[in-house]
Amino acid sequence: MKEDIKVGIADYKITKSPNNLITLGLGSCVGIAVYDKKSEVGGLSHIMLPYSSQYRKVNKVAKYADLALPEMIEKLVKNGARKNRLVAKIAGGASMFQFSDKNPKLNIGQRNIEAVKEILKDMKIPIKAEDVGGTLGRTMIVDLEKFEVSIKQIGKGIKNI
Amino acid sequence: MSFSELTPIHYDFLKEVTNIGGGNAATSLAQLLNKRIDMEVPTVRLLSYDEIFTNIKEEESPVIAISLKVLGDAPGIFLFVLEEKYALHLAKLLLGKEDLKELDDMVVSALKEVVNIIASSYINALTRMLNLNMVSSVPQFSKDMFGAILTTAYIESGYIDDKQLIIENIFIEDNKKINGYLFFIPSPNSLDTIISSINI
Repeated sequence: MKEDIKVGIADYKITKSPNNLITLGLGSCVGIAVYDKKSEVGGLSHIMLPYSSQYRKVNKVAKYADLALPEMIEKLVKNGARKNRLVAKIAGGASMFQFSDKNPKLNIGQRNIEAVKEILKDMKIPIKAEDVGGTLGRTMIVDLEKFEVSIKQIGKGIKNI
Repeated sequence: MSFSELTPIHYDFLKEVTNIGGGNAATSLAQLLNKRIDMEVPTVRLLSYDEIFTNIKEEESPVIAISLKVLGDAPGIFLFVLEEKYALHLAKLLLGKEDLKELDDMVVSALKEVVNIIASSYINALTRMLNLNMVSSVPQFSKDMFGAILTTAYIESGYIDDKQLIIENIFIEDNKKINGYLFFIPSPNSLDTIISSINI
């Protein structure tokens, strides 16, 4: 039976096809779906922040891109995935507020996107598709059967990436 | 100051501040609309995101959010959140029009204006009570998922802990045709500034 597995903010979950992995209401956060088609094992991470080294107090691995992704990938491998077969799809990193005094360097959405891309590149995991940036929030539904990711946005309907 | 360091006395003080700020805002709204506006007892709670999305609104709920930045001695963000049907009703009352169906430019600017007034009267009350100087920025309108708006507002304010301090006022119009949530998110330094004004 196909199950929907929900991933909360600053968390990640792994499961097998044909289950769906879902994360709701990504704003500046980024959702990273990673999948190995052959072993049918996949994971979804909902990160809040880019690099843990930029923060004084690190209390939860799944919050930071640089800690969450290596840990999730290690678990995928333990559950039968092969690292060199892994592919990723990413979504999120919106800039929800456009206050005039905003410092672009502090744009957390953009920093999250850049960090995720860099970390995936370092781990040699190719990004097959992305829907990032902009000013709108997103819900991400990962269908592991086809490794198809549906993105929902208010006023924009649903699209597949 | 991080939220976990707050003591019961701090909570009582913040509740009092929220009560006065929100009360002032409710009065302005009532005068503006010429309607009775009730304010629920304000809540100041430390909640995880799971609890926020269970107790307040689900993360995917489509909402209208009008946000303002507070500048000055105690910077922060005000978020006024309501469902689209309530936003339309609010605009109808403001503009004196019955046939509003969609959120066109006129409706959006009317909503921004009303939130400007609500936030200003809230800030005025805080300014007097705490003896701090604060002003608000131009309001910003968005129609988006509650979760995306709320999480980003906290993260961009510098709150990255598991639990968030939710400072919330709920305004209800007499006929229950408007139900709006006002969130005040002081930046971490502002929380110190506000708390330290207890001793004045």
